[in-house]
Amino acid sequence: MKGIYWNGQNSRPQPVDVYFGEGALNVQFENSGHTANYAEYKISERIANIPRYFNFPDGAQIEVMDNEAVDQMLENHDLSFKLETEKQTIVLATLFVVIVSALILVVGLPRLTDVLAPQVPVSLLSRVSEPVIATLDEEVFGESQLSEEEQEKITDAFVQLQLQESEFTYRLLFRDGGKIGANAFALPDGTVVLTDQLYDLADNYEQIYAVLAHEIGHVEHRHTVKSVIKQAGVASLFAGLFGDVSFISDLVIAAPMMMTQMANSRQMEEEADSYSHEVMAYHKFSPEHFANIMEKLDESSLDESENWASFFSSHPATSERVEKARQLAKQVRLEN
Amino acid sequence: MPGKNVQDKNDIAPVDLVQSRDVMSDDSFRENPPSREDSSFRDEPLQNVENTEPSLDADSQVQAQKLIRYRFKFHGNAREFFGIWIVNILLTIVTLGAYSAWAKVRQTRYLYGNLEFADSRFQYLAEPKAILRGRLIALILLAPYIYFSYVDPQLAGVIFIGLLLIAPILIVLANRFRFHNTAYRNIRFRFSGTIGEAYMYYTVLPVFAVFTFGLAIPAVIKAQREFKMNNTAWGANYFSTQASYGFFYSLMFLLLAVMLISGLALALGFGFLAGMNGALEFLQLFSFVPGMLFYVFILHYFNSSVFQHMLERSEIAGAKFETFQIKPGTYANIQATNLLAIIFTAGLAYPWAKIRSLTYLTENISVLSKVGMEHIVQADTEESNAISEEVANMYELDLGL
Repeated sequence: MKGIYWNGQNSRPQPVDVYFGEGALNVQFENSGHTANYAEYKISERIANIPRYFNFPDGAQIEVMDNEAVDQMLENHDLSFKLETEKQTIVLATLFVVIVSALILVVGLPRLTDVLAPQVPVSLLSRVSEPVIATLDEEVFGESQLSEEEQEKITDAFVQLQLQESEFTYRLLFRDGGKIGANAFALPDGTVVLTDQLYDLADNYEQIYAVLAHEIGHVEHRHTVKSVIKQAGVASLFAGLFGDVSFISDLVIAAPMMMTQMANSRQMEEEADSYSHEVMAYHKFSPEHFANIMEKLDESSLDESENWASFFSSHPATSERVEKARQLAKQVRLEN
Repeated sequence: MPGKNVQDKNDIAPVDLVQSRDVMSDDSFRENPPSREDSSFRDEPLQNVENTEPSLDADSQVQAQKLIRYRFKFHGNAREFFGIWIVNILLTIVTLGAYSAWAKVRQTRYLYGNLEFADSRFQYLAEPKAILRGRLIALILLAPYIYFSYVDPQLAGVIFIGLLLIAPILIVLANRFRFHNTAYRNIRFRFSGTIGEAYMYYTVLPVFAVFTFGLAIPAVIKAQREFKMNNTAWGANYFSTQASYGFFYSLMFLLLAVMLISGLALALGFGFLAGMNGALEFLQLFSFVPGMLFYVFILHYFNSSVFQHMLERSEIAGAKFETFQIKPGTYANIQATNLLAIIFTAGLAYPWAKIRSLTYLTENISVLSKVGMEHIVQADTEESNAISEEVANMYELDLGL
């Protein structure tokens, strides 16, 4: 077979003819007619049709384009090469990878998350939540303008909304929401924050209770912890698949991650909604209140152009949730 | 020997090399036997000499200085690469990730091995074990940071600063590894930047830039790129780069302008997207796509602009680069459409996308050389420190630096 000899000292190609016999390589230099025998050499692996290299201990090498000839000489093909080029294997591999990835994302990861999430001790959750409140109080929130009586009234109701035997120690904080505006959110340890602006927005107390119940739902389901674990899981999956840590900077691969993240939040919001409906039903409050306050929150967030950050936060289509609540309300009315 | 036009070339001095036409690198060996080594071993049919399209100026320059124009050719194709890629993912999954280093090596070898320049291919020589080691190290470095970012953000902040502080070391090691394991015509590349210098360019200067309210940022970036380029060598031949301050500053202004305009556009866009809230809900899942496309476009536009500029201002072994055929807008477009393809094929289009962007980049670069490629000489190894080569070869730190 024909090849090019590169001596590793300069860039001059020297055409050679290579013959293989009795385990040794016989090389004839076409220009000078010089011949050489090599007993020691390493052959590079076959990858598609890139050149094959015979590497010698002195650092020189012979480049051969004719992979088939080399394979014949070796009397076999690299296993990897066979797998990578056989159509059946490629098709099978594609199916396998797609199915397994889908399974991991849709089944494996959620199951794992559900198993791991409860293992996280509540004390750890408190440690995580503390700095968040501190930062928010520093940066965003102001002191609440609600009267003590109002705060007490709502807090009493808040206690009623909790589960009898929850592992979490809840506390309700009232704040002036500042830039965040009308909102309520929960931290993983059971701290729930209600902004004055949401209080102002609501028509009645039941609407506020609906929102608080929704937030308690988030805590009980350990949504924050779960989403953290899921994120880590998805990141690991993609890192493993695509093999680089640099994929983070390659947005091309971050896209699927973002999509799974968004789908995940949608599910979490639905779970929190269900919890809210259950608790509200228990206390004989109509689901209509939930629907109403959701609509109002939706409208108000559209008005505030500052809230564009919240658009990218993962709240799924509000209208769906409102629809669901209205349906429930209809059912409740029918039953009564 | 079987009938070939073989002449003894050993006594042709470099000065005899005269080429005044553009030739495809494939053909340069066949068209003028007296000045080329005979490479008819390839047994390929003679190809037509293709007249490439460089400007008239370039042509007359080539005539006047008797330069030789070489082009890159990328032989990779999506079908082959897909086979390699998907089978390697399968093996990686089945081995729970252990195979990932071998997968990376095979893929990179495929891409390098299909890059042809002046009738020779590039080689990627890294050993999978070194890559595995590097990945474990990356994991050890990053894992605590990720863990603490959830549990104790302050500690995570400290770790982050720590990582920033050692970043220059990682940059040097990663570049040393990458270049040491790249070879062309059996001569390795080399990165000779020292860690001390790296600290200067990647820590001291950026900090200084902060104190100038960011005004010095383009200058610092220019210095960083020059540092990287000027410390890269093929054999004994170093790149020598002299970039332009004006270029980097005008690029920064362009970036600022783009951000301003896009800020306005985003505000308007949100109004539109918000209106979609009720009607097309499932599209919400894709609501981030326009933003990502935009980001990818801008990112690759600027990256390729800088890449083009640095190459255009570089010389190596008396050869210069022509990069005017690279249009950053086109390249950015390619990357943006790649992103779309990847999203809508659940990632399966990745190999196709990779080949596509690589082909564009490489086949639009040409090299003008005063001497033929075979007259480059390898470095004497006195310069290469044995220890640093060992260290260089130990870890492939693919941290995306």
